[in-house]
Amino acid sequence: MNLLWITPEIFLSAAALLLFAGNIRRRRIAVGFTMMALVMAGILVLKFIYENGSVLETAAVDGMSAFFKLLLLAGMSLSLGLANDSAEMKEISWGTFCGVWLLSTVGLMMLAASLDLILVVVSLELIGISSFILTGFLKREKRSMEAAIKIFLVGALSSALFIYGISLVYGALGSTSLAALAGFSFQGPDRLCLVGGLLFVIAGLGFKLAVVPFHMWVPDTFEGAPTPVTAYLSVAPKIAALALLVRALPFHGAAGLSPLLAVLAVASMTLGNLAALRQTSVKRLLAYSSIAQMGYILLGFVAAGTLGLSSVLVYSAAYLFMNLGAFACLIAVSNESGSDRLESFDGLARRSFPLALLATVFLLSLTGIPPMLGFVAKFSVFAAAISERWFLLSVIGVLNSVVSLYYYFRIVHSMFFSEPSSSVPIRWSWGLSGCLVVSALITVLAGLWPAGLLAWVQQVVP
Amino acid sequence: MIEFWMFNAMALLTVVPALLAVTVKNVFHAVLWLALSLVGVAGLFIILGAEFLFVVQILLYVGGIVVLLLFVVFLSGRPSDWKGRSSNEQWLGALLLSAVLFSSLSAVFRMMPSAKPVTGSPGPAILSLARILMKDWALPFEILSLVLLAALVGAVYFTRPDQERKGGGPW
Repeated sequence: MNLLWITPEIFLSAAALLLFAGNIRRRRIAVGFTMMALVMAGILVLKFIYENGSVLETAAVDGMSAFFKLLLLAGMSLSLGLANDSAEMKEISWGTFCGVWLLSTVGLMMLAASLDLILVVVSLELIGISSFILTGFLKREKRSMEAAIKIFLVGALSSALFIYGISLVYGALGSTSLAALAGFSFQGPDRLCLVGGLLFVIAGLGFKLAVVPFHMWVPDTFEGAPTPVTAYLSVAPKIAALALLVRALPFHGAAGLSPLLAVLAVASMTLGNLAALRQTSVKRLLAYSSIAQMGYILLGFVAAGTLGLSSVLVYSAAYLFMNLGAFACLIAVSNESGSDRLESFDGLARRSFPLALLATVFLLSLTGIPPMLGFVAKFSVFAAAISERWFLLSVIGVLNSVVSLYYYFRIVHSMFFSEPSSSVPIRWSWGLSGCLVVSALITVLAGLWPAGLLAWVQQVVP
Repeated sequence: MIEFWMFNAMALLTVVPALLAVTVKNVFHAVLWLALSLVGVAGLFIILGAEFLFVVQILLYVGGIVVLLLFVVFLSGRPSDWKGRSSNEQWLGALLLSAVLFSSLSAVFRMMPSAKPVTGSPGPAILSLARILMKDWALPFEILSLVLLAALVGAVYFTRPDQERKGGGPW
């Protein structure tokens, strides 16, 4: 036990308190300070990357938690850059926004490291409450408030399901630790109670991951929230929940949960992709695409084993950067046009060729076309599924990727082959271009030379 | 034997007011019925020998949360709340779903041989609780304070009138 190991979290909480206490309203000061705090926390996480242990046996400090924490910190700082440059977020109290942003980061990092269901519940609450505040941050706008109320109600429902499931699990195991869950044989007399509890737990997590049939809140919430917050919502809570699943997973094969996860995966991929086909708002399109992407990731959990879990880690990293990049392009375009309709992408190549090129990189990666990182991720997920003899599932996954090609390339088509509706050049600012460049570099370079990422992942997966 | 009848009496005290709480038309009365149902749950706890849960149930739920609910009813209630139905057209579906959930859960619990009621009174619970909270669960306990902080900031932010242009600190 070493309390020093949670210095990154303590540091971020202290920074959040400073932001609240300082009552900072200047954007530059608040965002700069928060950015520095996130980078410092990243350095502190790097310092403990080779440790292997736990804090009070509730939070793990090991290679895997470091992997996810670094991923989450990268996601939070990149999407903070988006918030900094979004035209929607002009007149807000930045100190409050950044403080809540940091509190949510602490919750995400704790969730990704938890070894105990009690810490899981508490961190889920921290994430839930801060997501709710961030979603409704433009409180003068009706759509933002509507989205906030939706995410609040859904969050309350999913927490209730989750906690109820945990109480059943505790009744069956007499312990709340994930290790006890992993070591359970599923042969004993309490088997039914445990499986029942796990079903509630999966339903509760399903809302956080936004997989079908727990997805109905996603499109409206994603559309109503300020776009940088949508970028955060589409990435960070999902990756933290995936980290939790990876840690809690070793038990699921014995319980026969794989078929259930397979059904969720097929439903998410298919419904997400089919619904995305008809969208005219790019924000809604990305919302449905994120539902479909979670379906692909679930394939890794269906396959389970070392191969399956490593593919989940690779996909999480790929998803983080390509999705944030896509949202960065959307924000760059809608800053000028004030709309997130598909038409505002018309002729983007003539207004700003580099932006259109970067957008194409992210959309190619989301489709899973080489040489982007998204291809490596999809390849490893499908390879894991095939190695566990889930052939039909892999075929459905590949067919779904073909469907997604259509709606992702509708955007590419309108960027390169449509007449621009306005000739205003796109302005670049540092937060936005930082997010674009970093995401694009990682998507392309890690896609061309995936060996480094794969080696890192292999090292941290048990 | 006496425990059996006590249990049934308390179960009745929990279930009947709970039913009334969702069926009566007057919101104020519904809250009062809810309070009675929560007292019934407290009674169940004391029968099972869980004094700490009994105290928490009375203090927190009957004492705190019900008063909070009454405050909300008084402050934000409208005259229409006094006679509107508290259920909508989907009550039949909800009833069916609850019935399915109830029957499957009770089937699960009946299959659990280890589910025996705890009898007898445990030792002083508060001291060991304090030890657990401040030692074993110190980390979730501290994170919980961040949850409360976030909730507080959110409540202040959403209820505060717009005055970001005026007031505020030097930055």
